[in-house]
Amino acid sequence: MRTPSHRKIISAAWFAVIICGGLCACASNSAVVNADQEEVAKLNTPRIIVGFNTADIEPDNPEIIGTLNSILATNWTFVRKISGNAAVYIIRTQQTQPELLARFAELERIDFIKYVEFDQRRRIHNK
Amino acid sequence: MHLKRPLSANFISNSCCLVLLVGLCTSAGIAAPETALSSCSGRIIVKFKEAGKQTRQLNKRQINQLQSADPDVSHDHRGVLSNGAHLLQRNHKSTQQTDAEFIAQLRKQEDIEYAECDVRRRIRYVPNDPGFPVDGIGFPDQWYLSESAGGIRAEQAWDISLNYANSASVIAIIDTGILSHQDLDTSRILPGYDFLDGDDDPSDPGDAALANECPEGGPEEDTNSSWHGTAIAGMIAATQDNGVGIAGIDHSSNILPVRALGKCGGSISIIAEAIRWAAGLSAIGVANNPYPADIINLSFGSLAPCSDTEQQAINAAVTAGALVVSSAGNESTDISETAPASCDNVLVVTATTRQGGETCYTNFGAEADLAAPGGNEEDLTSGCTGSIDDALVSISNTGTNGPGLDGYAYHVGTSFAAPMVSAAAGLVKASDPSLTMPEIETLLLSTARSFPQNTTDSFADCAQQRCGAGILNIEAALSLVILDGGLDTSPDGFIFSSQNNVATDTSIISNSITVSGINVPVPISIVGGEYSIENNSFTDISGQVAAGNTVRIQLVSANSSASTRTATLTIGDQSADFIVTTAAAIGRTSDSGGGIFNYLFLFGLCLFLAIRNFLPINTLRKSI
Repeated sequence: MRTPSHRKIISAAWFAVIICGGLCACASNSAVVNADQEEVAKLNTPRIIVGFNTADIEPDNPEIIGTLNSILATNWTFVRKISGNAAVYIIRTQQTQPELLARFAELERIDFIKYVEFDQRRRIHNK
Repeated sequence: MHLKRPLSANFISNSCCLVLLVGLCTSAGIAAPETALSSCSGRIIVKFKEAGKQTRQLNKRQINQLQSADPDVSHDHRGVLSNGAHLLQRNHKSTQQTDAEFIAQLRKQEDIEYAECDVRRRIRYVPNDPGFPVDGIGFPDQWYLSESAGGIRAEQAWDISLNYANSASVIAIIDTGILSHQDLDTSRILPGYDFLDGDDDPSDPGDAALANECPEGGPEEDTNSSWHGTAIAGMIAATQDNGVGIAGIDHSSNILPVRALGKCGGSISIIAEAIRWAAGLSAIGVANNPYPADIINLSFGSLAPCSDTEQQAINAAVTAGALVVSSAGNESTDISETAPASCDNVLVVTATTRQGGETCYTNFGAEADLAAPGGNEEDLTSGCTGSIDDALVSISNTGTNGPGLDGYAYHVGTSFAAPMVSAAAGLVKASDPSLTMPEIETLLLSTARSFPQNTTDSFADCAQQRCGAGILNIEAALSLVILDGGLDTSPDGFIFSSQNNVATDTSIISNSITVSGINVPVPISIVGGEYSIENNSFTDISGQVAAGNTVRIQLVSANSSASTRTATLTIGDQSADFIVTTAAAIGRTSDSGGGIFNYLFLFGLCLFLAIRNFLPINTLRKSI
């Protein structure tokens, strides 16, 4: 038979379990958030290359940048033109890489855009 | 792995080492009494019989004899040897084969005592560069140049190239920039460009980086400057025979330094511009390169797919006539997962060990084209052994951050396999400028030597489907071009006999043809049927075929009578049709005797109808 003191002990135990569980949940959530934030931090100002279908596109034209922003509202900033009818932009975003890639596919449906890709980095192949 | 040991050039001139090295140089520089590769070059010695009647000039009969041996070629008489033999120079572009045929004809003639090539004997060229001492002991350790197991046979190739490489090809090194060095001839360094700083000074300021300094993360820890571009340049073009340091592979080509990578690597938007510029194409904001590269060396990459930007740049460079050589990468993964090695139109180089096996780090796969030594990295769990003796030595710098003194360092990685192929391509191009870069690529691949088996220092013995066609063999490539009459990619014509009156919807196999007239493998493809090489299974997938291979075609005949189907087989620049026509008769084919049966059946039918029409039925009944 449970006495009131037993009940207090059980209640305290349950309370501890709940508190611990909550703390653990918070801790695990914060770990996830931190990982996401890290990923976003790396991506928050990525450089993007946009290839155009024709040579007469002016990649710094406000209309072009407006079109880019209309699909992917990330404050597109023109950096420079590159050969092959392409240009480099910097965007500001909190989106993850997979989210951005999905938006790149949307951008590539615009008739004057040939391709959109990250301006990846290559490193020397020494060991 | 800490194989790099940059040491100052002063170390080389350390008196103790110098004594050892000079001793070594002396022994290395003296001619070994070895016969170099022989070539007639059209110089023939002929001795006629009738010793007592030898003259200073050829008589009319003797001239006629020579003409009869090869009516298409005239000869200059260059003199008479002490034994009465005549020295002739043939007036045509001589090849080993044509000279041999001519000599064979002469030897058949009764009054010719002997005929032979005036073979040129040469000193076996051994440059006097001492290599770099291992652990302070003077010993040439550029094993990758000539060792039989894992080497690229460059030392042997120089016996040919030193006589024939009379022009200079241009090899662009898109990398971290290069530094001047006592072992680099400044007259062979072309004005390059720095795409990171946007100026015409491609010297390397150093790529040392603090931990996590780079915007996309990394490096994991503080790193010293690699002097990577300088090492690549040394591997290709370190001055030979200057008594110091090392010998570069290519003694003739010029280097075009292009800086596009720094402490955090290089972005593809910049690398793509560098590739275009190196190939002589316009790059935005940069004056055109007056020295378009024949070869562009890319010893870098990352785990990512080939980007549109770099693929377009590579395509443009190749269209402009350049050969783009890329290292496979060091991630021990399939090349398809890396770039730029996975891009189209690049010659991908994997790394082999000192024994010629697959290194534990090289990327691999179907996209591998060719292998070259990359130096061993010890990885005992994967079976790889290695020490500093098995690494690759090249020029370097003593600076840990900014440039210091000239030095030498040991290197490991596919980074250093790629420039061996670039250098080989440069040497071949310089020896025969008429060759196109695709031809040179074919040449290098087709003359690669087989991978050694039973290697004990590697992840595994290399296989073609993982490491490429074989290990680079510069001697074989140059021999084929210079001594064996050059690259012949145009096969002799061939014919497939048409087959008529065949059954419908049946597999018909052609006569067998034997490929001839080529000295390197050439592409084979088919339209409308399938082909088989050497009785292997039939396929319609394009491939390669070599001289001596037998080829047959399989074609399914039409499913209606009197119909024709055609398969067109193309080998190199030659094509031939295999035509199959079904029988005109209904249902049966002539080869089964059905034709006669059909004719009899029709005759009988006609006879019956004629009787039925012309005779009254009653008459028939009566007669029955």
